Amino acid sequence: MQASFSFTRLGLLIRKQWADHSKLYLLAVVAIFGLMAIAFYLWSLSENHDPASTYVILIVAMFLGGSIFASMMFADLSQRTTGIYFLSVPATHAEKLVCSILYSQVLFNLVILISFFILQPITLSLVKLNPHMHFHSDMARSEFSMLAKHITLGYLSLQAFFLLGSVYFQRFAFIKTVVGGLLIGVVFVLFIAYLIKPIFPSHVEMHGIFELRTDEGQDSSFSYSLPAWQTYLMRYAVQYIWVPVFWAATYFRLKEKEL
Amino acid sequence: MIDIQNLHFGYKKEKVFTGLSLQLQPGHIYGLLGKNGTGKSTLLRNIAGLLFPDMGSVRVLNFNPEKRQPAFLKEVFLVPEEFYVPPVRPSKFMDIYAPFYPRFDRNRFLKYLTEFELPMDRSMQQMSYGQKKKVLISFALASNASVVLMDEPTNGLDIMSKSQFRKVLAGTIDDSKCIVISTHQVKDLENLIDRITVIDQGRILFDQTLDKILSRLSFKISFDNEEIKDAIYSESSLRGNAIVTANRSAEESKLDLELLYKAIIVNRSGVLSAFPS
Repeated sequence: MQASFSFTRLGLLIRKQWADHSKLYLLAVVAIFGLMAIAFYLWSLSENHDPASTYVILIVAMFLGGSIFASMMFADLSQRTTGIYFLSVPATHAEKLVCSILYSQVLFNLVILISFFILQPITLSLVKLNPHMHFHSDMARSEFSMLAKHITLGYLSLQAFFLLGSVYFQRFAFIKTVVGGLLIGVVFVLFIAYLIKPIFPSHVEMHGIFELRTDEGQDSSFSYSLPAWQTYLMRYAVQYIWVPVFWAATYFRLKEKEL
Repeated sequence: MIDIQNLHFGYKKEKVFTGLSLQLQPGHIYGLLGKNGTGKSTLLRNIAGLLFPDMGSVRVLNFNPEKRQPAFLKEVFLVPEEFYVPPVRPSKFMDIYAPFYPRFDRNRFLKYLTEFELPMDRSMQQMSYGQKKKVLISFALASNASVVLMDEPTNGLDIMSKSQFRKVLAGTIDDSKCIVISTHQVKDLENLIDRITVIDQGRILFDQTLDKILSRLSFKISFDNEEIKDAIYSESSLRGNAIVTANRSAEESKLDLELLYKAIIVNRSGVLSAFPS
């Protein structure tokens, strides 16, 4: 176990990563806080306020900042000098990956969340001081928490995808990962539209990805789906599988990296 | 210690090695000589596990470098020609990086830094290229790694630093270590290396120990036309003709590494004829 993973070495790597990049990280914290403060200021200028809409700021900051930050995690590998420095450190690829995940997907997100939850109550309490302001909420709490769960899962998957992009592409990792992601999306849509849908007769329609419905006319329709437990398992897999899949791909790409 | 068998390696279209075999033993400082672009750095990166052979095998201390296991990485230190240093002072660099190397000698590192007259209070990124290189060389030697690979270590060093480098390196070698120095500045390694390997176009042109070279070849200045004509290699100089001849009478001479290198490149068969297998 010591040969493949050691928490002592991981601790040393975390310390080394901080020493190498602390200036950049501290600047990133200041930039995130500053940009979020500006966003909250702009939000406060409107007259009708839905506190739930402040989460748009959080989502934009997470999706944009998180993907940019994740795509920089293995930037050292884009140049031979820094790449040799990175790969020659006596630690396993798994430890180097975990260290990068810790900085990009744990610490970065903590900074975003802390910044948001400092600025949000301050902004709301300042806005409430103005008697002309109107507050309303269009979204039910249950609806909101379901949406938050899906957004969080999507966000973590996206970050893991950008982490993979940073080790995959030598230069312009962020842009290339965006383009790569778009291409995969387009190929998936074309695959469904031109290969999967034509397989079924015209009266059969896909309802989501786990159910087929037929319309036989004369108010007669049938629904075909997998057994509930299989649908549940597959839905669970579709939701949760991407992060570990992208991490595993990053690990293997890191292992085969040559400089 | 380092066992390379039938190494094949190439970059996309360009083949660098086509069947290179080489064994390096502990207790020696090897000089890997060759022109620019002959594969010296590529060979070092194959040994360090940064490049993977297309065919053949590289074994270092019984490790497969490709796997880049921590136990391997802490025993092999590469000082590349172009390198990165973090934005910290040398003492901080030691604090962060040394714990990865269990046999790291902190006192020795500080002693080398003093010998190289390096500014301890300056961030490494604010140092000159030569100063950065000296910090890295000091670290490599203080790490007590069993294999130290240096790619053009004297590039960027001034005359005094080159002399300090030779002195420091000579005091480091012991029976458990193997130091491989790749360079095209052969003069810088004189009196330092004890085995010379010359590679060109991915193959080994010459591979002999210093003792054997001096017992088989003679390096001298000659004014004797007959001797110059029979020499394996000769070149005129202000002092007369510098020549390399077969050492048939067991005479003692001082190795002229640059002259030997030129002799190998210009008249390899002549040089090898003095080393019957």
